[in-house]
Amino acid sequence: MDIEKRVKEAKQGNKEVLVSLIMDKKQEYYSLAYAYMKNQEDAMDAMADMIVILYEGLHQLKKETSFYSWSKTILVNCCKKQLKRKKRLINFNNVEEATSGGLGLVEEQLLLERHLSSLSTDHQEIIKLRYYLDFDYNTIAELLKIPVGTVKSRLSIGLRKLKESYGGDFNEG
Amino acid sequence: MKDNNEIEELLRAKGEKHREIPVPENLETRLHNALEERGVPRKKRQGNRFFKAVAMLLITIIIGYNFNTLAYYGKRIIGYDNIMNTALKELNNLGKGQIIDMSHTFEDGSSVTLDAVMIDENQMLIFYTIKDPKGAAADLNLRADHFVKGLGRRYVAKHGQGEISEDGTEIRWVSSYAPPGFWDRSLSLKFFLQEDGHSEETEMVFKIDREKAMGATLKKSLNIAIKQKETKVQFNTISASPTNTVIEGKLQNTLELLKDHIMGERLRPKAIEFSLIANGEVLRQQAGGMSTNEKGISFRWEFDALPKDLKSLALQIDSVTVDHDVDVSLSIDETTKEKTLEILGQNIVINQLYKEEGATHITISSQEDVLLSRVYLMVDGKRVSLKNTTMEDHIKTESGEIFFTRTLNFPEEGEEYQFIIKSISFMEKYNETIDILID
Repeated sequence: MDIEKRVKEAKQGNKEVLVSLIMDKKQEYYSLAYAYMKNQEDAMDAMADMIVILYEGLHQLKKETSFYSWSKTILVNCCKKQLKRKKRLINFNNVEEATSGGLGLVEEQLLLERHLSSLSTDHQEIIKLRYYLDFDYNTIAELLKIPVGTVKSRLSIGLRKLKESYGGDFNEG
Repeated sequence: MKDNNEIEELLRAKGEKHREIPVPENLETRLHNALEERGVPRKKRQGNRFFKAVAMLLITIIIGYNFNTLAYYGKRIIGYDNIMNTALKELNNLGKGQIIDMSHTFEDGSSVTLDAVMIDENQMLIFYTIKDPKGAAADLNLRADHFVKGLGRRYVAKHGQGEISEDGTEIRWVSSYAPPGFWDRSLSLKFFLQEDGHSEETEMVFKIDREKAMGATLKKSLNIAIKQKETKVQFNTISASPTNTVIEGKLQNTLELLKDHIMGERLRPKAIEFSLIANGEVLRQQAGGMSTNEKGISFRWEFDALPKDLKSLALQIDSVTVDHDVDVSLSIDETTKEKTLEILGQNIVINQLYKEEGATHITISSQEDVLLSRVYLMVDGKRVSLKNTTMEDHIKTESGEIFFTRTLNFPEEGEEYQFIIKSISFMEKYNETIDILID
């Protein structure tokens, strides 16, 4: 069944179809949520928040074909909201270093993560969307609702900052 | 100072892994739960709701009626002989299954019958039949929900097995769900039928007969840990019930992070092969699963039930598959023929490279357990990801070794090629048998 038809059905309140629409692209959604939340539980929580909002707001979506870009923007907003909430709640516990898939991540990439987390959230976000999720400029612009030009400049500044951050660690090579 | 390219390369490598982060198996259930618990139902047309209420009422009446008669007269679950193992058949003969026998017919004439349940310490088995008078039961998108709902709790489906009748009109399913808590007297299970542009669901509510539920036959902690050069296997518990035997444990690598880094290779255990042997015979494996977190990899394997006259019990550990990060780059072209590459003691033969309609194909051979888990091809300086792997074949070499040949397909063509291997996985052999003492 094509997406348009299924989205229409989800609009009618069919929860099964709504969940199946998300599950069809579960890797994309989950990777996106994980980029923000950095752990499995929180990534799933963000997706749970998202699906409730989708269910309640689906009738406002005018173009069925934009379901995926629309819902991903909502997911990003859910992640940001959760992160804000977490910031308020957790301040005694050091947030654990992100692990990709649990074990694969060591040394150099831990270091990368550390440098990355020294950047502002905007710069971290743009770098992750570009490199971790392999989104192009237009997709990022659409997702964050900012102009393509801003995406480009923010990314290049982010990369420069990341390089500067590395500068202190690597003096040779 | 790291230059921009280096940083971008690091970011890309991280990204590649990031986009493959395993999606948790329970994600779908989580989404469903969120909708059930928090989703505020939007206004629906009144007619619809009314119809649903009537339908529900009808079902409940039928249930009540059938429940009493069948529970009394029919004590055995009938029709599942082929998908019941010996232990299940015996339990069934002893009347341990609880007959439910509730049916629902969908608009298109297909139907589902919840035949019976069987509950013990390890699992809740749900027996149900899907019928399609048109003879295409296997193509029907009709399924049981991922969980059985109890009082404030959900019992997730773990695995299942079905049998299609010869004429295709019927499928008999035995699905394993997590066992319900002792406080749950009444459970409900939904079934969904989805067809083009149309979906229907039905919910069946049934009472559990606690007298039929069975406890554990053997439950103990194992505390068995064995090590090889690179990996460590730990068996934590065994829990045997009348319907199956569950073994849980952990996989770890033996090297610490630091040492790991100095050696320039990173490794992570990925899979384990082992058997459970009772009275000298290998028990059939019913299911197996792994989960990963920061601390390591946990596994949970399920086997058939232990024999009643249990005299001996042993674990035979065959091997652990380990994934190694490597950095191998090899210039190849169409003249490359049967070139052998040695990576971490494993031989990989590049048989040939050929181009075809804008794509490049590389045929390689290796021992069966060796897998290039992360590869790509630089085509005229441009990085091309592996599209898929085809043409798999097993060849016996002159020395008697079995080699596994396959072709890696890259969707681009060029003149200069660099074959890049970023990680490789192969087995670490254990071949150890450990006796479990039975008291």
